[in-house]
Amino acid sequence: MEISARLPLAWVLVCLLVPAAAVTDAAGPESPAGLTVEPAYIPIGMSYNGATVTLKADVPAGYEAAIRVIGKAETLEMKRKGKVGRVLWMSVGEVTFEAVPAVYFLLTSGSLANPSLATMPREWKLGYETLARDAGTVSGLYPELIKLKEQEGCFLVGEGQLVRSGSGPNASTDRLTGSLRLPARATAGEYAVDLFGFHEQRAVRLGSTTIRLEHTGLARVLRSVATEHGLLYGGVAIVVAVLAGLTTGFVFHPKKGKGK
Amino acid sequence: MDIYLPIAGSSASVPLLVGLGGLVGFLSGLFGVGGGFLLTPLLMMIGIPPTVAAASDANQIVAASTSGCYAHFREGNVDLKMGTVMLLSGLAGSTLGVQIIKLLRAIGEANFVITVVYVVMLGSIGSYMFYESLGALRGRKPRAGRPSLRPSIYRRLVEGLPLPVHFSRSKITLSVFVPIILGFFVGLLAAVMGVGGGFIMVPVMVYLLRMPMHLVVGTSLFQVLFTCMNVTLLQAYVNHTVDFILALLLLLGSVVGAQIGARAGRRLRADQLKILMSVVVLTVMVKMLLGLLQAPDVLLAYKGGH
Repeated sequence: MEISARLPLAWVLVCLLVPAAAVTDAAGPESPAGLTVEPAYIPIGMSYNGATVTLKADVPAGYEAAIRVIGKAETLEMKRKGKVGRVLWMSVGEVTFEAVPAVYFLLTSGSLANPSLATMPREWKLGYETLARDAGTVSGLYPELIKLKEQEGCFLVGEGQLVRSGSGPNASTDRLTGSLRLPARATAGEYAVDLFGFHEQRAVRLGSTTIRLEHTGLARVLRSVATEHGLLYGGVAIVVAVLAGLTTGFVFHPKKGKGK
Repeated sequence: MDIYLPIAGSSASVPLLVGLGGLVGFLSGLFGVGGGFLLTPLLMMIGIPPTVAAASDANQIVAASTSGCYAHFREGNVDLKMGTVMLLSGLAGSTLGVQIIKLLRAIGEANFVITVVYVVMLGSIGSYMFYESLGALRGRKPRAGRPSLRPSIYRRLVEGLPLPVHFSRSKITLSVFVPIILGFFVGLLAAVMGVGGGFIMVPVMVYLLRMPMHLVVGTSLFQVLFTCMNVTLLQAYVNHTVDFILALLLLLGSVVGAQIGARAGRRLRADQLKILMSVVVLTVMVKMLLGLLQAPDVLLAYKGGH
């Protein structure tokens, strides 16, 4: 919540400083960098209860960095709550958000008020403000969506959560580490992981990789049957429920009586 | 011990789900209600998406009501004739109710109308049941038993209807149109409110059909069973929102809870059952009212659920 509260000020600073910067899409030869994600493959089986992902980045010495993990964009149809008759809170309509990422994590090594952040292109989607711009006509409600997604554990902006833990493979690099917790409700799919470096009002994309979440075993079978053979799935669910109810009835075997 | 729920796309504690199922099953066996009005919001609170919570809840109610209905049937406490008539008319009523919802939504203000009607109706039914049962427990004669100079308007209307039918199990004779009309309206209200309708059906059977309380619970469960079978099949086929694992864990608790509830019900007098039911109805009403008066933490919610 503290992070969210500080965001508006940070983004005002960012927007003021936009013109002063140069942008590069890859690190130059003088800036060796690396990005590793562990685990990069997460099976979603019946025992899956979310996963902790460790992020390691090697950036040129002196650089600030940000790692962004972003899921596939989807359209979200939601109910909007409001006051009716100045007293009652209830659903007052429906809203549609466009291009909402399934998950969004942004970990940075320094402050989000870093002037170098202002140099980033919009498509890099560094910060909630950039997401809101893509949401369509309902972007005014985006702070509420962020609040909801943060409560679910699917969105996080972790300022200063990338920590310098020594030097990288050579003396000219710094090793930054951080971790994030993917919630159990994170959807299956491929999440893009990108490393950005910021130095002297210059922003560069230093590396990219992915995390893949995939349903496996019984979870995969059930999802497949439920979506491809809904009628059969529903029929089996009913039969199992009726059999369970009858079996329990037999087990308890109540005596026959006249009732009250 | 947590387990992943593949359709909900979330994980949850196994003992918690079994426990919640047990609690709702107990209420189901005791009062003849499905319990969806209680369980769906609880599931949403532990992170299950509303559409999956409502659909999977219907699936577990099939198990709980089978278990409860079986227990009551063994006791001879299910009026199959009355239950079948009201079930068929209830299905017709719920079909019309779905169309009314569409119309209200097109006009706007649907949610306001539905919610206010819901709260007022629950408050009225619950208060009346509570007052009447409390009076009976204190030894006051129920109004129905008092000699009255002239029958009520409702009684005169009911007695004036044609085609009288004897419901031998309930030991009542009334026009077949009475359960048809009442079943139709319960189905209609249940569809408009988005609930199974057990806790509307129970007061209707007690106060308007004058069925014996021990038959009301079993007969209501009989209807809830078929209504929820229909909902489960439709949700699985159309929306793919039934989470079988979630329903299985809930029903593990609910089938046992329903048996315990049915046994507990046999140890209670009709007025004691009624007063407990009225407390449940009033609790739901107060919960809804608080939900309407308190500012929500987030001004957005996912679509679906009750």
